[in-house]
Amino acid sequence: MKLRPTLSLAAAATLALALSACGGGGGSSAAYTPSAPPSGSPATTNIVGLGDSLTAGEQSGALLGAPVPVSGSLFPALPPTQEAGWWAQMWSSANGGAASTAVLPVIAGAPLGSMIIPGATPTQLTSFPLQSCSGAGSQNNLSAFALGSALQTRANPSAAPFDLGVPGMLAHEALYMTGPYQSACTIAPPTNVQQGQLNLLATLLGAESLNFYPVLGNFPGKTAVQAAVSLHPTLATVWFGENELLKFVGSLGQVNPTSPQQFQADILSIIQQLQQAGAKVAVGNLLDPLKAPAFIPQPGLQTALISAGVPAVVAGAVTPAIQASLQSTYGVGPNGYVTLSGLRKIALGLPSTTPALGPGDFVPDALAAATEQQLTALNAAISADAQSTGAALVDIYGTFNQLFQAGAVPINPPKCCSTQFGGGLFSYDGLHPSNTGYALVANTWIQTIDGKFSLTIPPVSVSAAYATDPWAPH
Amino acid sequence: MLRRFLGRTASLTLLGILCAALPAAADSGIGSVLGDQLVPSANSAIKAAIREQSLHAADVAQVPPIQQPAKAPAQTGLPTGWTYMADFSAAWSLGNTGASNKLPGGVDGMLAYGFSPTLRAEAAYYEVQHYPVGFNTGVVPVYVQGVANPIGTQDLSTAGIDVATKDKFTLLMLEHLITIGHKLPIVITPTYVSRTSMIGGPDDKQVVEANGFPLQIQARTVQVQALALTLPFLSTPKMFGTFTIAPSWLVHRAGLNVENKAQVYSILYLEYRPTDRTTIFLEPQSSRDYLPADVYAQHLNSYFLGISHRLTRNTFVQAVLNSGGPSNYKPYGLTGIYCQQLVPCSKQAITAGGLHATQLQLQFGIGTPSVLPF
Repeated sequence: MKLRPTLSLAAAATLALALSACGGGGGSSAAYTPSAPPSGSPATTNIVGLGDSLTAGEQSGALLGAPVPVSGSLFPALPPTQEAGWWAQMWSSANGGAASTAVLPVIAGAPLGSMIIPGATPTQLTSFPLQSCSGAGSQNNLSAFALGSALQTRANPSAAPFDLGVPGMLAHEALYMTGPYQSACTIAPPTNVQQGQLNLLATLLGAESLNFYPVLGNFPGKTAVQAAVSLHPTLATVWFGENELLKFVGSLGQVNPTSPQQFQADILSIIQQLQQAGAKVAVGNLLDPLKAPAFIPQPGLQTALISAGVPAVVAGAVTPAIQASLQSTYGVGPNGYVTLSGLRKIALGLPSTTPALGPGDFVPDALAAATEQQLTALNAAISADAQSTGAALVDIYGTFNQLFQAGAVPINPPKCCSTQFGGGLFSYDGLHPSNTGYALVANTWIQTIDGKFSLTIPPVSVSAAYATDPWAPH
Repeated sequence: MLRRFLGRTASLTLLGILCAALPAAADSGIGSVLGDQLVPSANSAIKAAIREQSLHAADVAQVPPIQQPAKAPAQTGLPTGWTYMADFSAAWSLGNTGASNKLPGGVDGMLAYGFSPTLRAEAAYYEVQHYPVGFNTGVVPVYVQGVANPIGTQDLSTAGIDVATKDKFTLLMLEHLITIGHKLPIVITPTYVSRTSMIGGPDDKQVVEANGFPLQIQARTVQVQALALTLPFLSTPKMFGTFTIAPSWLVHRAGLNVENKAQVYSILYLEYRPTDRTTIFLEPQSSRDYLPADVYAQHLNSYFLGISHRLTRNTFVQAVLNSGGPSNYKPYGLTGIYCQQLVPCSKQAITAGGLHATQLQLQFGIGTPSVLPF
């Protein structure tokens, strides 16, 4: 319980520094120019990133390295996400603004996953492709599950990437996983109760399968950590743990993939292996996922319904009954949450005030409390590992906690940016940051790395990231 | 005659015990195979050496009269020259193996050459089949990778998993008989054992869960080297006993093994000979044994109770009751199924505790008279 105030103070300082870069510095929005990774690098150049979707640069539910034209949307093209991620922004800043795509596993498009984009009207969101495993735009998703075809999804299939972030990956998986859980994109309809359970679990646990080979296909048979070591990094970033929390939440507490003790041992092993390979290591702690806009506090349901397009009069009339139903049926009280998918089901189910929700649609009060406990434990584990190994501890929790408490950061007031859905700091999935949000994350990493290892990586320009940020209001 | 009797008894008992022990040894590990091969062979040499000592004392007291034809020289240690043995066997499980309560046994063979009564090289091949206890009657939990709690249970009788196992052993030994102070015969036996296996198919490749992830290993393929020492503690006209201790090492680690420390195998052998053609023996054992599916060595305890009977000069029959299993890998048998590929649940890893067998084996064999029982 003493950890959070400490972290918050540190976060305030970090955030101040991160925001100080808003007005200056060269932009890092690189063009899509895949090339060979650098060689003969100085200490700040040969950076390897280990992590999950945050390190990979996922946004709005998808991973994409190149813009892809799309029709029927307010977007002229699906925006690339990977080079907008914090890791790519940091790499570019560390390498004089060079193209970050040189060290990314560039997904050529269509994206891996289904990207959430504006539809024909500003208030309408849609997905591309509409169906991940069938129809137009789904070929990459179909190809991604097999080693023999996964690299076809890449624009640079022969280049060994230095950003090894695999969306969905856990720390334990980074140490031991050498292949995907699922062998195909399509999940067959269940023929019995047990298969139905497996299918449900697959949707909660199998996210790594879609992204594993496209990212690590250049290192067949290797784990993510082994692949990182093989790249002989001089600087390595390690950021795991959000999926440990999200899978716990998404399964309604039924899946708790990693105990804090195991997590601490895993992170320790990862750090030590990288250090033994000669790398300076920075490890990030975890932001509170329940504070992200993907999770709507139950007391804020009425406001969220209005934001989702429900007339205010209707929202005001039905919200008390819906809240009562959430409490009695799902245990979602004043300290619980409804997710974006749950909000959508509630809105589409109106005027019914007894929504039918499933796993991933809500977070009961008890589960929310357990998740917070787990967050505290995992962050304590990361802190202990950093202290015992001499790794740099990057206080992501503090940065975001400061943002969540403030609710907004004045990047282009009054238009931008807030932590609310569509407020500019998060992409449309409500979990992954926007370009602007990733820039703040990048500067948190840079500030800590520079301070710990006496390096001079310049901060990225938050204002430049915002200027071309498709997820932020302008 | 007595020397030949002792030598044949020990040698055949050796092979008989070895073959009979294998089904349980497959459960109780390669250490039992080492011991079952080493002990009877060493016993043979020790018996002969003890007999020689007593005869030598008699020779000193009673010099043969002049003109009396000399006796044919009796065997004074390990059999010399070429010797062989082959047998086939059938076995019946006395444990709980459900519907697959069959242990077909196998064929075995041995070929040896004695350079002298104190030095002998031997090569042997043995095979045996067995089933984990409770396989066809158990209900085990089914897990999904990454999920702590089981999603259900599975009756193994309908699981469609075949774990019928046939182990195959190839042994190379070099036996050396030494007599300490002209009174204490001991046998030192450097040994190499190569073990392969078939589990429900043409090989023993199996998917196991290691650190939560699938890992394909050859579950029962190992190579072991050992150095055995056999000492006598009892020798009367009707009874005989030895103790064998054999430190052993894996030639290399395999599968889930995380260490390869010297594992000490020990065996007590006690026999009673009611007639010149029959031997009853008891052999309790304790060993530490690595399998690729084990992180650490299994602590194995087992016993063998048998009777051997010579039918003709070159043939014998033997029956052995044996039982054994590890004390540190429980519960016994298959204990869980893990879906290592979520959709579909096609890539499965099974988790087994210790394997335990209790069985009766009957075997018929032929061989060189000097290595048959009696």
